[in-house]
Amino acid sequence: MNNMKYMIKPLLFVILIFSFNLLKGNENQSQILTIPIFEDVPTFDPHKSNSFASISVWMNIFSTLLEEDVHGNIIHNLASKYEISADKLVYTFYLKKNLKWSDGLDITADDIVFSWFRAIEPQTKNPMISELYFIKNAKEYHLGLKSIKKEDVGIQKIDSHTVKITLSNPSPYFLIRFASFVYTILPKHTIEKYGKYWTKLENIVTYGPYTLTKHRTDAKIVLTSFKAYWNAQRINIPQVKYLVLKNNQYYDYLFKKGKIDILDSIPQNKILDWINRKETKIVNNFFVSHLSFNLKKPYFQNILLRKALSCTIHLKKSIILEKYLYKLGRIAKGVVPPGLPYYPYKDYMNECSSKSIKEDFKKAISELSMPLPPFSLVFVSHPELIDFFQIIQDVWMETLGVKSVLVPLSWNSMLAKLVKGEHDLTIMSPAASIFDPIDFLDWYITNEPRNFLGLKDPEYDRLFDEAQKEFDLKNRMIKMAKVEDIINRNFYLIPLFNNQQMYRLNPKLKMVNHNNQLIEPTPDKLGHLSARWINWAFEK
Amino acid sequence: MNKILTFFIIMLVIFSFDYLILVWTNSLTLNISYLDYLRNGLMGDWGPTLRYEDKTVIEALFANWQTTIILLLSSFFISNIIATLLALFIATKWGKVLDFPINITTYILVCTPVIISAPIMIHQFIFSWNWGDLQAYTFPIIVLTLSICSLYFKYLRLGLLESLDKSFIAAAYAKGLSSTRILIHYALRDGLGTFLSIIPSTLVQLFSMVIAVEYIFDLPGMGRFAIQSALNRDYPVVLGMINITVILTYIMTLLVEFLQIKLVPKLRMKHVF
Repeated sequence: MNNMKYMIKPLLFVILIFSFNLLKGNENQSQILTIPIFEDVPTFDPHKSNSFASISVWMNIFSTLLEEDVHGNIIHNLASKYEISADKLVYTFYLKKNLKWSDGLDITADDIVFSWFRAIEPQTKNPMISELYFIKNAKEYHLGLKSIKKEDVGIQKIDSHTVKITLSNPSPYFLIRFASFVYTILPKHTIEKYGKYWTKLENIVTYGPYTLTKHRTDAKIVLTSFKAYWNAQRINIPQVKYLVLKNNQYYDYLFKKGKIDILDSIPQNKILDWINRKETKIVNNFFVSHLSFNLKKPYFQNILLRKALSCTIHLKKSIILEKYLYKLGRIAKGVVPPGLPYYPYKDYMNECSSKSIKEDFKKAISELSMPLPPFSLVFVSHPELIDFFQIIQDVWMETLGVKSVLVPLSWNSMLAKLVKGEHDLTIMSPAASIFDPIDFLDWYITNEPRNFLGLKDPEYDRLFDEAQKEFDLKNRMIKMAKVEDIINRNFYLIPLFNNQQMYRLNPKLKMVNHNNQLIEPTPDKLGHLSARWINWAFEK
Repeated sequence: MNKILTFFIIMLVIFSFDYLILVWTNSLTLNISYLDYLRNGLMGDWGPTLRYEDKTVIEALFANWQTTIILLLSSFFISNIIATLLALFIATKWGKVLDFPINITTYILVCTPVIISAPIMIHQFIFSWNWGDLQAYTFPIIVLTLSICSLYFKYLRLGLLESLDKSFIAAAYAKGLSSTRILIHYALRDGLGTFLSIIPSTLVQLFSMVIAVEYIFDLPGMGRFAIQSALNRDYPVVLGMINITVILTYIMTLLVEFLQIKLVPKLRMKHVF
């Protein structure tokens, strides 16, 4: 008994000291860039997911042959030079010499060819596959047509440091796309050695301005600058930290305390408080959100029902905007967001009136000759989206007496549900990677994996194919508008809002141009801030 | 031997339930037979998670074990110490002025769940008065301690009052021993019985409180991860969390039985082990 007594006291003491030691915070915060993310990165494999946080991590730990600088110009990254053939179909890239992966092995043309073949391989299930369809025979290879062999695809190795890409048709935006993360170069030797476990922290091999040094599941990701990077002298921020913070009500507080440096997700109840502050910046995003019907359901084949539901929302949009977004946003009238030069915008919603809605709905019900089941509204479980869908639910219930069920899910389970086509309606917010309508329209091509609308229209495919080949800007916009017309005329989607975004930055955080001069942070044409941390620095 | 066999049977039962649930929810990613699943489960391989392709359930759950363990152990030990000191102090003042307010306070604290006290703490102390930090351990530990400490205090006080009435205490006073010595060495040790027997159940209660507190304070720990996995329909992780709770409860029960025999003299005569 006495022995026990003497043992317990020191033990208690040690545990107490241990627990109080951990109460201390971090000391040197000034050189670390801290970014809050809402959900952890499910995988570090660039061919497996397309959530925002994942893209931001990949852009910094992996590299592409070309790169976009802070002004939107295309500059060389891993490529020392490139040549374009006269017919604009063949691109030859020369890789820089003496580039080494983080484990010391050479980067060669084999890695490039391997990565791009992996991206179009059907078993990889790459969600960004449509971005690779410009390559000759890539689409046919992905869909598994028997006549197409590996040699027929337009990715060819010339020698150990040269690669040749052949396109299926000339594309005006190919070089810009080439700088996007879809064309990342991955380590062949590691992926072949470890299989699907290559993304584990102890196995992963990278080449980029940063390396992955820490990943605590669902807690944080730490990137540290990579000394052997070819442009290592340009890296100004030695460490980047992503913190998983689930409750966005705390973001404001953490920002004030200096715990996080970039703040772009603002809870609804803070918007009014923020909008009047000097340091808050508001940008128009090249972005549209819309509700998409599931055309596989028999009742949504009826155009009058779609029109009635669409118009109901459209007439209430200004109220929703005021109530839900606190006027932060613009009312969308079509699939393509405003702002493009030469684009003939049309207002499809001017036919809507409260009288026409009721007539259309009555007609639709009598044509359907079946009772409408409660619609399931599938979306990512985010507190703000739940609020928003409750408003939509109320609007339909009050005006048409249509019942609906909210199904908030995680990103992955939502995707699974959408692919199976079990939803009735879902919210979609296609993000554009270039300043062109193409990224908003390529979702609805037949057999496209992101075509959750379930549209199968050969006319649409033909017009889209014609439009995307067009080089002349003016003609291109007119052709694209014809494609958009099919969707808007048939009310396949309910356009909601063109977003405006608010953000706040740590006042010491500045951008760096390629001459290493500090400039004020400015978003690009699409309204995004650069997520390549090599372009950022702390003012001293 | 008896205990190990019981443990083995409990594990078999929970893994069978796990297997059934996984089959019902279509969450078995690997094509694995029931017997293989049982064997793997007992060996500590609980299969892959649904969300993280390259991670097993145990890896993903225990990635943030530090946060949970720090919250659990420090609030447990701090509340033990405070409860004991307070109970000893009150025992000498029984029926006097101080007894009543302390009693009332503890009753209120016992009745307040952490899902109410934690947000109040955050909004009042951290946001309004700017004390401390959101992502630190101080306030979560205070919230947990307040709630569990008052529970311990009530049981200790009851035990002490009961044993102070007994004849051997009167005998000790008659011998001329000091009142502190009587309180600590005679009364407290005799009164520990009920208190010790509630420890395993309160620890499980504390564990569930830790889960809630982690989520409210946005601390990265096993609890927040389990809640997020439940929202993500990641059944293997949720079942893994339940398994851990079952194992924890069983181990705690064993430990407390052992402690009771060591600390409470009258139990030593009956051979429990």
